[in-house]
Amino acid sequence: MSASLAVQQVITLHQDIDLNQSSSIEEIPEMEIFALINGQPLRQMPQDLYIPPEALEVFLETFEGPLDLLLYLIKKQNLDILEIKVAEITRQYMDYVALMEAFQLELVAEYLVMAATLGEIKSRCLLPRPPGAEADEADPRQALIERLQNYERFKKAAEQLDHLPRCEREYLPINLPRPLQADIAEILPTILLEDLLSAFKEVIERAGLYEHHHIFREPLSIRERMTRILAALQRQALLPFAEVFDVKEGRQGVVVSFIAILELIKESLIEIVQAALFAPIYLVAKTGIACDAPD
Amino acid sequence: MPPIELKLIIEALLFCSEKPLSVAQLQQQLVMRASDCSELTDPVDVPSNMQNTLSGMQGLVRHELESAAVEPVVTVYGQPAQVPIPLATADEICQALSALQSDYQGRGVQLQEVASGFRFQSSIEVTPWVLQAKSQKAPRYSRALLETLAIIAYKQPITRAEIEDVRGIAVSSHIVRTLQERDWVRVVGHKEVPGKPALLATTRGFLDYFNLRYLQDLPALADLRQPVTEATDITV
Repeated sequence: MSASLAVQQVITLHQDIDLNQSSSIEEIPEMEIFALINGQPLRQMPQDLYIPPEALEVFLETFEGPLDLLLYLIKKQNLDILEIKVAEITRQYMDYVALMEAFQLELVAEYLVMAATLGEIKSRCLLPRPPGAEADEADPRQALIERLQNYERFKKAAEQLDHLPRCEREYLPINLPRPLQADIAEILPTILLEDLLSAFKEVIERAGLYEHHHIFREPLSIRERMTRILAALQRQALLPFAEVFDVKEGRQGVVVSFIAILELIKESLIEIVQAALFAPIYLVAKTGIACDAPD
Repeated sequence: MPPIELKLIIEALLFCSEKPLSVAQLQQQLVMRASDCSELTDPVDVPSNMQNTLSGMQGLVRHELESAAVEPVVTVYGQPAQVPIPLATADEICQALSALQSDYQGRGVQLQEVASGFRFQSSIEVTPWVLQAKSQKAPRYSRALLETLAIIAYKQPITRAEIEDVRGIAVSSHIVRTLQERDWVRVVGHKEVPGKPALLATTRGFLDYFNLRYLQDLPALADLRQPVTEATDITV
């Protein structure tokens, strides 16, 4: 909800603007009245919005921090972020902070930090610049402007994200209640290192058959192989152990693949599963688990 | 296998699956074991008539119920060979999926591709009616949550302190927990700085929820502009 919208809602709530009754008063030309406040016709748009004290709390709470409040103050004056008038903005900002204090709102520390930053920028602006250093001196407002701009980007990105068609609002995924997919991640036997090694031995033996076709290539990267295994696991939940190895790469390639698997296990990125004794061994990605790898 | 039957199996699989299914996952499920089609003399023969397709589908269901893993190698030692016969290539599955997609054009249900695969979902026009029937309300998310999520999505992997730096205010742990519980955000590692803060990144569940296939599908971020150097503010 934008801050200004919040203000308008607050006004509607607290000032009892009655648009429906305006037509019942006949002696006053209809065009001039646009609202009735407490029975009195209102002929002119108020210069600034009046915020009833009890609504202020609601109003201030709609700001997502000091950057959001500053952005609102800048937008209210139709100013470009790049051309902010520090003195004016600081004055208004401090007014809001004073209001927050007056109503004993829990004044978040971040708001005070921003007030101090504004003060610092203003005093830097006031300092006379030495004649020589003028070109080098950065605009004291620059850091703040950059932060404001950066925040505004993500504020907009969040709004765009909110407007993306999404599940539970634009779309509802459909599935029949009877689940067909077997849950593979059930109680599975733990695999002994020996099993892994004997499976590895098998692959090595097969790799040996390809020795004569071995072509020298760039040294194989373990990292690259780890990524390839992870990518393969993104495409398929279960990756047969034997499929990780390309026996055509020869002994060296097979070893690199094996080390990559061991690394991935060590980093808790994958798991090794086996459905039963002598059943094929599979690699499974460990998803959804925070990788708190002990050092 | 003629593409028409494959399409029907995929349609049923997608309707019955709780999660979107990728082409590879579909291919993995579309296998037939030799023992399930004993009438076939040559087990490597891909069945070509409807009857065989049906028996293949039954085999598939049975296979899933037994929760047996797909056996890629022929087992000997006197045991009957359990050879999975792929029913379709990835290309054939893709073709069937796009055929399904055009079949469902202009229907109340549509076939959508998201990050983790294909899923059936209600069309945008009918969703309000379904929500109403289920007396559900589309959830709304606070600006704080959306801003935090947007920053993580665009700047991942990112620490909490870095998010706070952009927003200028503390990120409540409640929001981070909600994002993790919804499986939109997860910890992908820890930054090598004092305190080893967790690095947050979005998940495929996030892309699925927002109907996206890749992170690149997110709307582009606005550009940063350079501040103009002018000194109008020096005098009060």
